[in-house]
Amino acid sequence: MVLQPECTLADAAELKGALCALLAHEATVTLDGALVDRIDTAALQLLAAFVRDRRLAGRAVEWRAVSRAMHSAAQLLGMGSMLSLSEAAQ
Amino acid sequence: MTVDLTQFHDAFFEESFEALDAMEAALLKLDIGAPDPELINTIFRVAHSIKGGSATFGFTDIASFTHSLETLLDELRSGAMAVTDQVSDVLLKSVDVMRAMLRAVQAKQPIDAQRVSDLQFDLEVIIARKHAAPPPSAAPQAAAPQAAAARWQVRFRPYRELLARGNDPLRMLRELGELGEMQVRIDAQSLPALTDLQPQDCHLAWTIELSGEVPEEAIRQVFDWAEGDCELQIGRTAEAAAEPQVEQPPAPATPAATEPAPSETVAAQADSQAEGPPEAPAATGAAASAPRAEPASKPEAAVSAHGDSGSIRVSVDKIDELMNTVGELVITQAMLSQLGGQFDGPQAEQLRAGLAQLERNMRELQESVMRVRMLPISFVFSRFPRMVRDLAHRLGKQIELKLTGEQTELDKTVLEKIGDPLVHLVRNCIDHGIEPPEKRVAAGKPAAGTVHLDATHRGGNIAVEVSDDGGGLDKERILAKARARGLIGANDTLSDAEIYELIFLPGFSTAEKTTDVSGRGVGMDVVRRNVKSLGGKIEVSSEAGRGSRFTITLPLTLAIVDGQSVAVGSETYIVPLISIVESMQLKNGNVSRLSGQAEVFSFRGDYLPIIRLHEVFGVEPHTRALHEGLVVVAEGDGRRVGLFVDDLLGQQQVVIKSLETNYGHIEGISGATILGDGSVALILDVPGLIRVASMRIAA
Amino acid sequence: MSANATVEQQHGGESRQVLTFVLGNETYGVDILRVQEIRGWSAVTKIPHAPPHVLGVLNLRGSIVPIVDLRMRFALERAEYTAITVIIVMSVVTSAGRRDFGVVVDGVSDVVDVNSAEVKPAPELGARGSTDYLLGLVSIAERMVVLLDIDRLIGRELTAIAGSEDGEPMAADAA
Repeated sequence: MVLQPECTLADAAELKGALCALLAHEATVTLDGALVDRIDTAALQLLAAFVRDRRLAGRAVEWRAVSRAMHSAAQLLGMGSMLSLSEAAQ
Repeated sequence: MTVDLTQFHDAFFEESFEALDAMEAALLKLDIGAPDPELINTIFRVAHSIKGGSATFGFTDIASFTHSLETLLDELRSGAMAVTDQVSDVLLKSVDVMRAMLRAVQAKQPIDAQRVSDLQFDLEVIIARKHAAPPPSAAPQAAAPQAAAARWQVRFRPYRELLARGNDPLRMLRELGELGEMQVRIDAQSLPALTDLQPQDCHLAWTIELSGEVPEEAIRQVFDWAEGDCELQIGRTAEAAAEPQVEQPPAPATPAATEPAPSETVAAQADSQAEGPPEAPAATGAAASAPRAEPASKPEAAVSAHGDSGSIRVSVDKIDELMNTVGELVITQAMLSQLGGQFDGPQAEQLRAGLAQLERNMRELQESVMRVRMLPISFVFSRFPRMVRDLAHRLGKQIELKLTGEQTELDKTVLEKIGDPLVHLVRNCIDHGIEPPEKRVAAGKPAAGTVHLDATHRGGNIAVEVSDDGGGLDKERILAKARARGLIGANDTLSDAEIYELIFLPGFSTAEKTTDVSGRGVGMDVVRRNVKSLGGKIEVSSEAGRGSRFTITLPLTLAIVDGQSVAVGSETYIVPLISIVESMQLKNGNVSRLSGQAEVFSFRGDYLPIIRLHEVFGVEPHTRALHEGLVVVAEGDGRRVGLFVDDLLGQQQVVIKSLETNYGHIEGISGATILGDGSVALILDVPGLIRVASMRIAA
Repeated sequence: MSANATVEQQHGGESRQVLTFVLGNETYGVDILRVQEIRGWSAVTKIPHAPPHVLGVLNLRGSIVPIVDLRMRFALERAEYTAITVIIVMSVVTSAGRRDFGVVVDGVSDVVDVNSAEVKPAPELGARGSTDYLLGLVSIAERMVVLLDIDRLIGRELTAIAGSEDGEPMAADAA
């Protein structure tokens, strides 16, 4: 799934819907945050819940790429390890 | 113990919250140096009964904390220790911590253990120091923050609504990161499963360690915008004491200080001592013993308190259900009345008499049910003594707070939402309104400024006034700022009222430098938005050197509104009476067109724009000729406009229904109602409508 | 879901009830569990700034319910609203919770049992836009019935109206 450039509260309901649809996906879900330009706490919170829930269910999530904006936002919120962003290319 | 204690939990929480309010009030009345023993007793009893109750119910964290608190209070009670400013501050903080703990336990959320142990540590240091250095007067200094080799620990726990109010923790942490080197720890414990997560709710919390030479004000300023939307704790932790729960507290001079923080052993002891004597632990010696449980006394206290006031606790849901049903009944009754008017024949008169009786009864029923939801505004006012005290302290000002009309009642929903706007206003008065003592004395005023909060009923509305006897709004500075920001033209002349209106514009701030109290112009526009969302309005008046006065007018309830029905084509709309100035017919002569575009008409010496409702709402009107229809002069956000409609239909109280339940928000519409014939009429949101219309003209 | 049901789904397919209705020459079906009630046409109150196929709102036993014209939603020729025009009141589950709304249809046909094994996937309609609100096609008594996913068809739209209208929809392509 490719994240949109704007990941903010305004589109959080859409993002949640999209993530919910992927929750039960059997194969590894690959998230691509390379385009993310602006992201806020609401969107990161959803991603954190998604990554955690997938992991709790024993399903994998990986990052194809993460933009600088997204990476620094996640770091600021102390979410880097929750989202396992560290291994993702910038 | 085989009795199921959970049935008493609710009563315990309610009682404890009330008791804490009483404790806080008593603390605020406490004179430093010469405390009234009766007040200390009151405070002691609160701590004691909460300790007993929490031990009984197995809330060990609370029991352990209140135990330390009780030890300190006992010292005060026996006169072994003096009440100092510092002690009083710690006690007030304890009230906050106990409230937070009770709330957490009530909501089955984890307790903020760090915050609790920090304060418990403070309490124990005070007690310990007393034992180490008997002269009580020597105490205050020692607990002051240790030297510069310290760092800040910021605990930031947003309330759920934080995001929805437009605050983003990300922005705050980014600003914080600019102040110094920062380590962020996230607490995502209460993050629900993705499917249950409401995207606009914030379920995260953070602990931030910040090192560097950073003034506390700078940190507070970062969170200014979130004030009221989060729990915020800023503490200076010496490097060594950064992890107090691991480290042994220094100087444990009494057994109390070595008692482990929250632990299972306390619970066990509490259980084994359940039959123990219910009296208070005597003086200092008993401090080391574990909290004693009083299984019998707590439920009894709950019963007697309920009996005293002759009231019962009813859940709000039940009342809301009742309100809804009554709302339905009112609609059905209106439908019947309308039908009844169409009948002829021998029994028609009787039918109508019966219907009229029904209508009267309905109105009484509706009012009675509405009254059930009404609470005195003192519930909101009661938070101000503490707030004003703390603020005045911080700003070095002397403030006297006057509260009147505390018994004025209003709907619980309105009550809950009016708190924040009032906090903003009061804070603003103290920060910007009241001058520093020197300046006041120089101006021939008493050194202590007065902030006055007053509530009164006016018709179907409640008016809440916040006034101060400070310097008043500075017109020149407001004008200068508005010009600098291009909000008004360089040569525009504005009336006083128009100048004061400028402060409600988003981002407007007149403080010469931002302060950590009212911040960067956050406030007035937010205040107005909040008040407006409650269907109310806010007005300001001011006199240079004499002070300013903000008046908030609100409907008593959000459930019904007094409205004027108007017809536009085949549609009926409801205009809230609170927005209407008057209705009139236009003559051909007094309408003109500005630059061939916007239509305006003259009203009491002003030119007001005309909003053609049929155009804004896209309906086919009976007439487009202005002199054939009517104009309703309406006011919103301090602006007046003429709403052009076909006809006026009648005034009535209508039950407000949400459009957002099944559809969504519509600009210019605040809700809908059901008319007597069962059809739906939309209720106009006049300020929103003015915004929509002015965008149309601008476009 | 019980173990039994899972087994049944794998082998014979799951059976559920579907309410069918007519729109022009086509028959559509929706999950009966989503249907709240069926009522006759009555005049609606227009709502400003609504999409054209949202006709307005009606009072449904005290709550305000938006009414959608499915003919207009599917860009079919418009029909007059008459005494025999029917409104099916349904509920959708959106990220913002349950929402009720009514759809205007030409007429209600029947309640039929549909076995999920008999449902054929809807054909891709190419560039003509999203058809993800089509659950599939099923043949009942020689007639083709188009099964609708009402959450996708209406729910998403209502959520968009309720939230900010300018929000860019988030890409939902699965990896």
